[in-house]
Amino acid sequence: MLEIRNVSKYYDGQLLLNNISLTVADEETICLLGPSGGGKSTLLRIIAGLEEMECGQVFWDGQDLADVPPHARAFGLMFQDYALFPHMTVNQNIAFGLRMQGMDRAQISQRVEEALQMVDLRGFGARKVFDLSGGEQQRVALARALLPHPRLLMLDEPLGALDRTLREQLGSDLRRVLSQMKIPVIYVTHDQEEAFAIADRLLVLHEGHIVQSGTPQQIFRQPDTLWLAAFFGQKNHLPGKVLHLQPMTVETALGRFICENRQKEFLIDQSVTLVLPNSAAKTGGQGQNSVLGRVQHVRFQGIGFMIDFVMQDGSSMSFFFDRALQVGQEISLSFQPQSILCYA
Amino acid sequence: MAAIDAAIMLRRKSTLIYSALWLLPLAFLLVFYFYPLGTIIVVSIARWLQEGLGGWNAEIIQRAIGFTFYQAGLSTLLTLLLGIPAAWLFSHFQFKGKQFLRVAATLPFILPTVVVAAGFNALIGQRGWLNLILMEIFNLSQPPIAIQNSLFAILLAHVFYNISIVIRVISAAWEQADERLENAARTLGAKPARVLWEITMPLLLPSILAAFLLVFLFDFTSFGVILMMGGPRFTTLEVEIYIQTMHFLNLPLASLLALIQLAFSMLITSAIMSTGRTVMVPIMPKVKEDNLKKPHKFSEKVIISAISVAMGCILLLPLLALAARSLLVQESIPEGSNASGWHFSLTYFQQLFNNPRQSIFYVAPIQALRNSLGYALSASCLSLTLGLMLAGASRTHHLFRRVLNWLVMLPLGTSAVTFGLGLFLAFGLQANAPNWYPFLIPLAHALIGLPFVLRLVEPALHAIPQNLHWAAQTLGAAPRQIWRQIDLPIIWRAALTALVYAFAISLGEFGATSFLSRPDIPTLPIAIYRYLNLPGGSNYGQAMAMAVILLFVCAAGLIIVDHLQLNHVNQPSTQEMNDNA
Repeated sequence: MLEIRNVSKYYDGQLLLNNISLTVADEETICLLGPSGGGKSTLLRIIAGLEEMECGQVFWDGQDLADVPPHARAFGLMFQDYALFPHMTVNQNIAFGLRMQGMDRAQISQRVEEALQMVDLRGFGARKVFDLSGGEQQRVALARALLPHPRLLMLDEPLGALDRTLREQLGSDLRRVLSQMKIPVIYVTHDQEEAFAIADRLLVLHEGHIVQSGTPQQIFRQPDTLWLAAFFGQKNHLPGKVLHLQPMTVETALGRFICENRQKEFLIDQSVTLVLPNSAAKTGGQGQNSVLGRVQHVRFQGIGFMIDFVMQDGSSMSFFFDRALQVGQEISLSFQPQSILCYA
Repeated sequence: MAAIDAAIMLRRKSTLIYSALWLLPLAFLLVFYFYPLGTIIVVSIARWLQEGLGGWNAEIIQRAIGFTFYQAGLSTLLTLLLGIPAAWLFSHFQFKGKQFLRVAATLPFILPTVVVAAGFNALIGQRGWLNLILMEIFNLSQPPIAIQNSLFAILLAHVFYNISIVIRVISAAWEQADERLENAARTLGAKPARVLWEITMPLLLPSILAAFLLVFLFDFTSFGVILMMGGPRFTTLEVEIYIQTMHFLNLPLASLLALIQLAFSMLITSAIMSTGRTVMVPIMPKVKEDNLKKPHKFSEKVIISAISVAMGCILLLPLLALAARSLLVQESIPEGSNASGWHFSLTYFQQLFNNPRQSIFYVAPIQALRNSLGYALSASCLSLTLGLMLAGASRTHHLFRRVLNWLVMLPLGTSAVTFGLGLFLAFGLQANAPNWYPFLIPLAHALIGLPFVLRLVEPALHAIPQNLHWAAQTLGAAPRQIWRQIDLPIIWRAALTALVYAFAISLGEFGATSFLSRPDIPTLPIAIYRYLNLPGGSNYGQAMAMAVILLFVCAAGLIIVDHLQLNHVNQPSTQEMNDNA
């Protein structure tokens, strides 16, 4: 089991990681999700021992790793740009970890052959790594990281450098391979869909903090903060004031809303921001929990339509429908009290 | 907070290792560069304090400074004048024989001065082919041409030497100059001449300036060429230092001249550094051939042929003359006979193995080759080791990297003669020259080669992406294994190139060696210089034969270097590889 306690790291005088603590259970796959440049890769390098931290500790099964150099930690790390050794063939790259362990040649070549098979690269062994396509390089990097049987595997944006179709295909291959490995995995990405697909547990990193952790469904349905809601694409924000507490009623420029989805307690007259979920709008309805909007723009998105509205107060909001609406049409939209999120 | 303490300890440990990496080379510089330099300063100031300003022979100093600037300026302008058309040729056209010319233009840079001097001597000297042929045709008893020992000979040799720098620096810039800018000017109504004047030239100006400064520095500190081509009438600062030391033992004056020389060349060096360039390592860049066109118009063909032939003549005739002079022996011709009397023979080469009684050395000339090879081998290995240590240290210390650039450029800005004088004053003057005195030669050579080694090795080492190290570490490689498995295999081309360069530099080094060599342990360049100045056809022929040997060793080195480069082009850098991903 991996545990990190109170890790802080400055970069260029700014606090990049602020007092981060987390654990990864055996056989658990956690996913660190966050915007680019948020210190996710740095955290991986700190765990690997490649980078120093201002304070904090890294433990493996209760042992403090401060004095264990990176090459003795047996933590595998797959780099975003793969970091394949340009002067070695595919075989030599994959075999590197086993050679460092001092395994004998015959055994190495057998294991390398198995690894090539696992990542679908049989017959590629003698190639130079720069003759490979991006997807092939990615699989070599994966095989290289996995072959020495690390006790922890870290993947830094493993699909980040690939184009969309390749990403989907290799993503499912990656899930298959990881599920066979039975080791703890830390997966870093800035892509939500990727994170949702792979994570047992999701940790969102923002401005040096882990802002929320939980299963993908929990985090997506009930983001803890307004920033998180926006991060997951919920951008229909509506400021207002608390009118009643039972039931919780909020007065806004677009009318009154009752929301029952509360994370915490609020006070009467407190300023709050409501988030109207973009996927839960129903047409029709009047009075409380309904708003009037004029269709401004219709964007086809494959499985449905994202429709931009201009609201009564002149603000813009977007909602998802399974059918197209006519531009210029005035429509009333209503929301279930349970679906509206409320933040201080 | 035990963890923090542990982290600090770990950091201290690695800092200690890296400190050793740069402390050792630094100590080396201190003892063999700064201490001798200090000695020069002390010797000249001691005299100054004793006798005041009146004690100096002002006329010698003024004349030496004046002529140094005069010949350097003239040589540089002439080199640019011939080099710019050649740069145009190289950066715009693909033509037959280009590859050959490219290598031929690089050759002079690693050719020792004595070889160049011997080559020009064999071509235009008193006993050179030109005179021999003219004497033959017109039946003269005296050589009709006296170019040797003239300013013209100096200029010619300097052009020969430095034209490759001009070509390299300017053609690289010319090639990268965006052709669309010129096209844009054309579509805006500029005639070709206006385009050249208002667009192309301003774009090239920085590189022309850089080439000017680099060539000027080399001409300014040129020693062997002037000593051997100019003869006694022409003394630059360098030659004057040598004469004052070796002929008059006027050490204070020599020291003062060395300080003046040092001040000027440091000035030029810092001007070069401020243009953003560091040391020149004259490897002809393999250009992307796609921008080049084949000559189509008749006028283009004529111009290209003319430039190629002119370049070929300047670059190859001296070397061909040299080779011919070493292999053709003149028979004693009976009076009145008209036969030319030359025949092919290896006599001069065979004579190198003899140790005649009246030899100015106590050994057979071939021994000089053995000495030189031994010196060059140890100097180049030392240079590479120091270079790798410094480059390795600078990778982790960013501040150090900046300091390093200056620290190691100092030896470059110091002329070889100043170097030699410093070492001579610091270590050679003791009552009984110590036994290890000959070892100063490889040490001096290693220092002279160090800037070149660093220039090659440091960028290669820095180009290795950090994440390759990280990847290796997470796969279980300890620091030593990373060095062996990752760094060394990636930079071996650069390291080997550096080794060959350092070897060639040491093999041909003349300026510093002329202060340090002992008569019983001559180097090859020293032996050539002595034999060239001796009367008698046999001595002359042997000098030529030794120069040919030196020429071949250096040419072999160049071919190795060229080959290393060639293969390198086919292999994209890691950066490119990652870009493709």
